This record gives sequence, structure tokens and C-alpha cells, in this order.
Amino acid sequence: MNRAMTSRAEGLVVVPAFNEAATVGRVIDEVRRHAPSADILVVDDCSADGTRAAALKAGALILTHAINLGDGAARQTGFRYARSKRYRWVVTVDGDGQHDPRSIADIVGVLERGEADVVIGSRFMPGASGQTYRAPLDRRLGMMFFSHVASALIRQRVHDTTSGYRGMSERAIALFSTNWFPQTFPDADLIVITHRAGLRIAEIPAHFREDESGRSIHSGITPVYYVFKMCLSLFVTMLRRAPRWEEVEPHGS
Amino acid sequence: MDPRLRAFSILIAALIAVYVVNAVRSRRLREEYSFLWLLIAGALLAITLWDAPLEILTQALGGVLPANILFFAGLVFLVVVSLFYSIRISELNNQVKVLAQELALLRLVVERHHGPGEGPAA
Repeated sequence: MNRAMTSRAEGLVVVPAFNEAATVGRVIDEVRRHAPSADILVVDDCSADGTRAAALKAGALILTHAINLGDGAARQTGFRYARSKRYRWVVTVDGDGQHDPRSIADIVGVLERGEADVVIGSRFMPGASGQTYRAPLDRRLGMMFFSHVASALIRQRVHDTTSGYRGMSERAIALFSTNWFPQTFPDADLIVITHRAGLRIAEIPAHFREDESGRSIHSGITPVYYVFKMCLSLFVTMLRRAPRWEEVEPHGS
Repeated sequence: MDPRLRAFSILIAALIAVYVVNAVRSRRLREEYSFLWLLIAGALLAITLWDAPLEILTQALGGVLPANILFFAGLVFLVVVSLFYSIRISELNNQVKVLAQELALLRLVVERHHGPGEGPAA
């Protein structure tokens, strides 16, 4: 429609960042190299280390949360921006550099061919490269467990439900802009919600790198709480009726 | 009921009522939240002045002392109130999230017109 008036790019790369001043500039440069036609948006979740300045210097668009809302909300702020500007696709790339932007083109390819609405850049599929994922055993077991539960619920094998390296179509962007998007650790439950909304999910092997900062989104939270949250979230997701498009589509555009 | 206990109970009920009404008057407490507490003050007063219903309830539930039933009811009430507040806090959390997201989106629009800066809220 009048997309040309708001932005020239078809797609938006959303980089959620919390205290990533050291890496975010390089992530932006690399994204620009591998996805030259896309706009780049950093969502600064109230960092205290100059992440905003680093992102501005690298020339990205930047949205700043006045208060720290958490990783899930930062992603959603990006989706809401994408929706208001009517981007055709979004890829989320973490600000810590662990998602190698080389895979953006592969993810976007699947979206543009219309093969799926949500594309997971996977660490665990054959062909994934770079990162030798060395999570502690309990976390690996948790991830395996929930990926199997999610796979069973959607009747489609998904290897890596926790990957934050994902691509989304316009419909997925619209859905994730609403409160159907889980507020904390959106991973296995997000996959199930996507499926229940009638959207298609694809998983492709992606390039990863060691997280240089040595942190993970899941560090700090107790695995017990994570397991509890995900079980409850999956359970209530199945109890809820499926998302209806008339609730998702009308507002915001 | 012992007259001293009765007087004490009436005093507590009156204090709760006065405090709640004053909090509403000075706009520290919203009317919607005051209702519950005035109800409690009223119930306390009612039981103090007329404890027959409590006796009947105690017998019906097989309790030994009316005081036990009273404590139990108080406990249940507090649990329910806490749960209600947890739900309220969750709603407020969500509202704060939406506001902060809207603020971030609007701030970008403002910066496009006035150039990037640290902005008013940084």
C-alpha cells in the first residue's frame, strides 16, 4: 500500500539488546553486510552500558525502553514497530553476536517463497554450524524435553525451540504484536501458539557462534522456574481457544 | 462474649472504617479497593454485636470453638485477598509493559523530527 512512504526496505532485522555495547556495533555492521536491503532496528531494553550510543554510532534505528522489560518484551517492541511500518518480514538477531548474520538470507528465503510464517534458525539440525553448544546437562535435558513436547503438540518435528534466531512473516508479526506473545522466555509455547493460529513453521540449520560474553538469556533464572513456567504455559495454551484472526488483524494498522 | 473483648472488637472495627474512609478522602485509596475493607469492618462489627450466626456456623461445620471458625475464615479471606492482588499486579505489569513499548515507539518518532539526543527520559 503506502509502504513506500514509510520505508523502502521490505524487511526488518530486529536486534534485542540488553547491555551489549561491546558487541552490538559489530552485529549491526555484519547484518548490513549480509542483508543490505533490510532495515536494522535495535531494541535497547534499558541498558546501562552505552548500548544505545553504540547502536546509534553504527547507524541502526533504535528503540529504547525507559524501563527494563525483559527479552520477550524487547522482541515484541520490534514486532510492533515492524507491524506499524508494514514490513514484509522480520528476522530477530541477538545483540550478543551469537547469531551469525550469514543465515539471514536463508531464513528470509523460506519466508519469501511463502513456505512458512515462522522460520527457526536451528542449532540442533544437521547442517547447523559454528557453535558447539555446550549447555549444562540439566538445561540440555530441559530443551530436549520441551522440543519433544512442542513437536508432539504440533505434530511436526522441531529440534530447536529455544533458538532466538527466527524469521517471521507479516501474519506472524501481527500475531506476535498482540498479547498472544508470551512475555517471558517465548520459545516452546510460542511454537505451539503459532501452530494453533494456523501459521506454518519451518526449521532450517543456521550458523551460530560462541556467545562471546559467555551469557545466555536463560542465565540467572533458575531452571526449576523455567520448567514450571513452560509446563504451565504449554498447558494453558492448550486450554485457551486458538487465536482468532479478527482479534489480531484489525488494530494497529 | 466478654464485654472487654466486645469493646476492643468494636474499637478495631471503627478504626478500620475511619482509616479507610480517610484514605479515600485524601485520595490515597481508590473507592474500588475501599469497598472490601469497609465490608470487613462491617462484618467484624456484626459478629461482635450478634454472634448467633457464628455459633450456628460453628456447629454446622463441626467446629469446637467459634474462635477457630473465625480465625479460619480470616485466613481464607487473606489468602483470597493476596491472590486478588497478585492478579492486579500482573495486570499492572502488563500495562506498564505496553506503556513502555508505546513510549519507545513514540520516542523514535520524536527523534526523527528533532534529531537523536539523549531525550527527556534518559
